[in-house]
Amino acid sequence: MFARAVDSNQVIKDALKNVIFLHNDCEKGEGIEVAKKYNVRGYPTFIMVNADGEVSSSWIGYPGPDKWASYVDAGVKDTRTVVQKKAAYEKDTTKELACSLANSASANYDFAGAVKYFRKARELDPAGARQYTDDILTNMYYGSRGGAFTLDEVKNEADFVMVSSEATAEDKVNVAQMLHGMASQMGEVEAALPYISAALIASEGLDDLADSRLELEIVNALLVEKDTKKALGLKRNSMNDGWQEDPAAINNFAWWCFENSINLEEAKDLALKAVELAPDAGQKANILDTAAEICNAMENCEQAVELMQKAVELNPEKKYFKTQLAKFEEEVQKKNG
Amino acid sequence: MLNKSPLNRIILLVATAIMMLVLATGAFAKEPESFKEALALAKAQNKMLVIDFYTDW
Repeated sequence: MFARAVDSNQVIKDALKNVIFLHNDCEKGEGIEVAKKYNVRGYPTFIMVNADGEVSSSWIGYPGPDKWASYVDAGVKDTRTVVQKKAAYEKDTTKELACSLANSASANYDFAGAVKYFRKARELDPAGARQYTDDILTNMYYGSRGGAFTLDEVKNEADFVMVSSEATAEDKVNVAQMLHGMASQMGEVEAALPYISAALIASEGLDDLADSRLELEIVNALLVEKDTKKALGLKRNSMNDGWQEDPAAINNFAWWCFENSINLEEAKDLALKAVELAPDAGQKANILDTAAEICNAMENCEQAVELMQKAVELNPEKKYFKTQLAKFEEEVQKKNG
Repeated sequence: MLNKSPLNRIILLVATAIMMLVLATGAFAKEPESFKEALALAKAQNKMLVIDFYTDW
């Protein structure tokens, strides 16, 4: 996305006039060493350095042209190093410093630090609260995978959006989606349900949000209304035209059925069809794994073993498939044992 | 003598003008090809350096 924008977007081009710009391919030649030198953790990462190579600011991800350009502009305005900025922040806390340090923390995967700085920025700059809250939740979303935040902390931030008069329906839908992802990961999906219901009410009838709404409606039908038939119908509606001929889309649908223990018969048939449709061995093996899981869920572990053997044959490099095969073989032994 | 022809003079003049315009707008400004070169440019032009860390996948 950034690669395209940098050639075509005027806001980005204007921002770049005031700096030297280097594309660094992190997997080629000296690019590998430079990425290592700056301890780059994910892609894309952007780092601003002075002529001595000292870091003054950094951020991870491409946040769209306006925000990207604003980060560069801020970096041109305040060229102090991160170390100097930290010292200055302790003496005289400004929203600009808080923002810059928050982004640097995030780029270094210090999500708790990023949240701390963004909260300070929000305190100092209430007019920008909407944006800072979005940044806070995004960092919580990434940090929650490593256990940096409890669900209660995340819910407190989410509540901030849900009761805010400034928050749009889209904000609420985003929050509900994020919270659903986090709560599911933490094995506490129930905690997300009130947010999903609230987001659905706030966004009712808004066509622009139809796709995001549909995702939430599916979860709502499954977990709140406990109406699996409705959920299945909504899931079908959410699929793109022609999905039944697209192996990746079929795999997505079949896996969804498996995860929710719904419609397994059809899911299995579809997955087997997708294996035939898939263009290469790698994809075939991935879909065979889906089909095997479905068979196993239907207590047909013998067929699960057969399918998994084929997956291992097609992609012998992937250790996960061998683990899966051993798992299904154990099921067969248990059954016969 | 080719250079004495008025037409050639005009062509030379126009070519020079285009070249100066291109240089002035920076359309030919060189993008650094290495980290070292980028730092040297940053020093020479007294500018900050933005590095885009990317991969092709």
